[in-house]
Amino acid sequence: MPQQPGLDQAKVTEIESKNKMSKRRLKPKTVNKLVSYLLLTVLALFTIMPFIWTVSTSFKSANESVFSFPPTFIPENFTFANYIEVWNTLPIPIYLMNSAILTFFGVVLPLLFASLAGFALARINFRGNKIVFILIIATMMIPVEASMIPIYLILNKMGLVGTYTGVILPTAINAFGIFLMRQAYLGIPKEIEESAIIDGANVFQVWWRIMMPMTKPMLATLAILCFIGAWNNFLWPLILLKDSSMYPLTVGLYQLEGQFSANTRHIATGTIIALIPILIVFLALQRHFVENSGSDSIKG
Amino acid sequence: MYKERHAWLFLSPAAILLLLFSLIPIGWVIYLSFTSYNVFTPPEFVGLENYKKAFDDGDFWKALKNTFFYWIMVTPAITIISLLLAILVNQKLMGIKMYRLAFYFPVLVSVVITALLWKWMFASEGLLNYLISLIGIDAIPWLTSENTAMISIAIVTVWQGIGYYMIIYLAGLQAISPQLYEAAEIDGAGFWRKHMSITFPLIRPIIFFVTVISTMGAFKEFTLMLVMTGGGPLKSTTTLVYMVYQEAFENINFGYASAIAVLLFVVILLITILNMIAQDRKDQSS
Amino acid sequence: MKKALSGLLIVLMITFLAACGDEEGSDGKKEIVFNTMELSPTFDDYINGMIESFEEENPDVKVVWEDVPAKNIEQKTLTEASSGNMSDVVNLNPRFTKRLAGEGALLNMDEAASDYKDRYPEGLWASGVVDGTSYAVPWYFTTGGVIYNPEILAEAGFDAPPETIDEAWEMSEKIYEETGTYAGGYTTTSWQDLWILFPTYGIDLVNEEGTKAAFNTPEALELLTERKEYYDKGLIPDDLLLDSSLASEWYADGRLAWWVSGPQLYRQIEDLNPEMYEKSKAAPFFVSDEDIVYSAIQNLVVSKNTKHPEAATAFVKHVTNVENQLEFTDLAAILPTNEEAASDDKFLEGKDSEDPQEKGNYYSATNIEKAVDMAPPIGNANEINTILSETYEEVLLNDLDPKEALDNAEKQVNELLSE
Repeated sequence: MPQQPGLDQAKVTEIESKNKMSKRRLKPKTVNKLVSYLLLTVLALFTIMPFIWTVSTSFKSANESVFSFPPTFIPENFTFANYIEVWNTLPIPIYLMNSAILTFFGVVLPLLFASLAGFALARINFRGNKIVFILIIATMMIPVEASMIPIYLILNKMGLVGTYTGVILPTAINAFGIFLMRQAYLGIPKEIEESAIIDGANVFQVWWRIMMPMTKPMLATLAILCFIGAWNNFLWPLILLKDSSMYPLTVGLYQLEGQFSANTRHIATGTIIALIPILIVFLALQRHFVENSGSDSIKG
Repeated sequence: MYKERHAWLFLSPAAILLLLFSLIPIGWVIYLSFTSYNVFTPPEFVGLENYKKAFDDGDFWKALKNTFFYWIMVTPAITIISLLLAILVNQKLMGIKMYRLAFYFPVLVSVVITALLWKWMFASEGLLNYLISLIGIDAIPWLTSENTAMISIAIVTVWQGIGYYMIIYLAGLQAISPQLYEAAEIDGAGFWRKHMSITFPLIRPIIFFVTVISTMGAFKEFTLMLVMTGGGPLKSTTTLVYMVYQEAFENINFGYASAIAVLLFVVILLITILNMIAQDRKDQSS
Repeated sequence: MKKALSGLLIVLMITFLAACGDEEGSDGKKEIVFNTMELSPTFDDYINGMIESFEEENPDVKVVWEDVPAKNIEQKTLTEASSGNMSDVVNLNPRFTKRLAGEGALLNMDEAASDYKDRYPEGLWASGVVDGTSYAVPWYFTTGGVIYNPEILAEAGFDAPPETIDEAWEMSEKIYEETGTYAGGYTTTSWQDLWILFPTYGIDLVNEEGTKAAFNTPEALELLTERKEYYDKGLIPDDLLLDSSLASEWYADGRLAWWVSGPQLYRQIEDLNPEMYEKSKAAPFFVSDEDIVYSAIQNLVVSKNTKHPEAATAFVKHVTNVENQLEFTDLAAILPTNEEAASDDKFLEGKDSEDPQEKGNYYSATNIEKAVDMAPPIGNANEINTILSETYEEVLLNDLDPKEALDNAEKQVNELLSE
């Protein structure tokens, strides 16, 4: 840890050992609290507005204007009709199932592969480490608009057009995840893994038992980001999948935007249906990256 | 300790996939940039023709300028604001989880709905102009002037991105032991001192990450421009990737589109390497 | 732990392999893939019915239908074409049809569907023509129309909508002065303006050989100068000029006196604001002295690389035959491209309707002979539109001299065409 002015190393260690078992967190003073709440609330109003508008539109009945200026946020005639209609027009359960399959692999594979690669890059000093890292980062520098056709050509050569494997494989790893996990592993003090190695653990055991659990907050974060990425994946499934019964939810929902029959209420309803699983995952995972703070997972 | 073969073992799944779906395609894009290609007939080698065309193309330089302008507005703002936000929501406050979720909403809502609502706010008789009229400022042509359209899109980008980067920072902040802050408080450190001396140094790897990633994000953004302004007025919000998209899928000049993508690649690579060197220097000095 | 991990990896590998294995087994039939733009699920029964009857008549052919969002169809078509997987029959708009035809990607329809050519009005058949050859069969279309708000017109002292483009501008000015509400004249957006306006006044965009720009004429200069005057008078708001999606929203919200658009889209107003739709009325499209009308056409094209050109062409003919075109028009406010189908009496039924869409469709049908595809018959049609819309913005927003702007645009188009 870097030496900082005003922070006496000995004192920190002393307090740290005193509070070892306590899960006490910072309690800002009341004034700070009030300022924080005020700031947070103003910001939150700003960020949540589109969502509120979408929810409100999805509950508006057909005799109500959806575009008015200024926008109205409370439906005059509250109705569930849009949800029932969307549910009846499209095979939502099938799309949900398809999305679940694609998203499962779109989260598990990148988490696993990025953890492995990030660990190697951060903790193992091998020849070419820097170059490999730069190469990995470099893969993010080409816009997908340019590399789309080459990727399609490769998938086509592998016979994966029209299959889930074809949709999953290109997203099974991303440089973003490797980079994120590398940074997480970089932040772990050396002493921890050294003691494990002295205990006779092999390299996989060190990674799996000691190191990976310490990156849990970051893994949870990456899981959310991957989940959203995979859940909202639109272009690849659309181009690769031939059979509309294989479509994930995002691709299935575009059908609400018919050429002659664009129905804003239905589109809003579809958006909310697609959003609910993400919200559930976010709330479920938030516990992990909030309550397992790094200091807790350091076993004394 | 660890051996080299361990490194390769750990790297192999990622390496194989990246080779197949990133590096080979990039190689292909570089090859295409030296050809004339319309996807229906095999690429035809034309040497440096596409690069010459780019250097002579006023639209290319304009797009490059627009892209830099956008990047300079977006990346510092996102890097700093989302960190401050993460510090704010890292406090133990009632209902803080709901706030975190609220800040994350812009990431979740589709870009179409984002565009729709911001267009309302930016309309000449829209919400923002109404608000500034209250404090006596003249209406701003947010999306309808060449001078302001990109700035308006940058505002939307920051609005959209801070929640995303906030949760990455948050994960980093969670890894910092609360005892460090308590020690600092005992020493009488105030808000700024505390964070300057503890938070910033400890999450430097994350700050570096956010800078690099948001830089790449800024250089590759085009969907917001596509849905909000269509690249206009008068190409003032046409970025390099927007141009890649247009040349490839509207004008069917895949060779030229690839050349622009390669030039963009070089620009991002240079910026990232500079960023890394700066990071290494800091690491050595501390 | 190591075991658990390798176990997980094995499970993943098996899943992959299993997923790889489900490739479709063909039963010896000729398979053709048919792409449409945003027609599912509304028209599922209709399209599936056509496919069924086609497969009955041609037992050796299997048709696979894929519906694609309009904004992604270009990307999908090109990506698939890169590995020779382009769908056999694709629904495209004229501009992209011409683009693909210019690259030599489409089957020559003058040859493959030579017996169909005579069934179409010339102005519509032209929607697939590049360099004198047609590469598409028109499927369905609408001509432009107008939906207007009688209350705003009455407030400004008018009891009927304008009939000609010039009247539309005069009235717009009066309405703006009297009520402060925009009308937007003929069209408000830069994207839809000059490339439609010029041909509407008989000014060709390119010469007959498709080698040079032809729009730099005194008449064009006059039109552009007029537009600039209207803009300076405040008749064309910047928001509408730059964003074509706003006009329907503004109209639905009562901030626009009329909305120029095809009748197939009027129901959008009902969706956005039912009250406004209720009081709206339809009117025939504003015309120039040339008496031709812009029309939005949807084409069917056949990939040149299709493995089954006969089956694909036969399917195109099946979809566009009189019976199937008529059935489609029962389901949507569109018109059949085929002359025989279009002469059906049912298109006159909307004459006395109070519903704007039905009435609009009636007006649209009475304009069939005037309907023209206005995209120039060359591969670069889309790029020319872009140049013209930027020219328009330069003049209106940046006060560029109209003459200078037209000269610049001519130069750019000539450079483009000489490439």
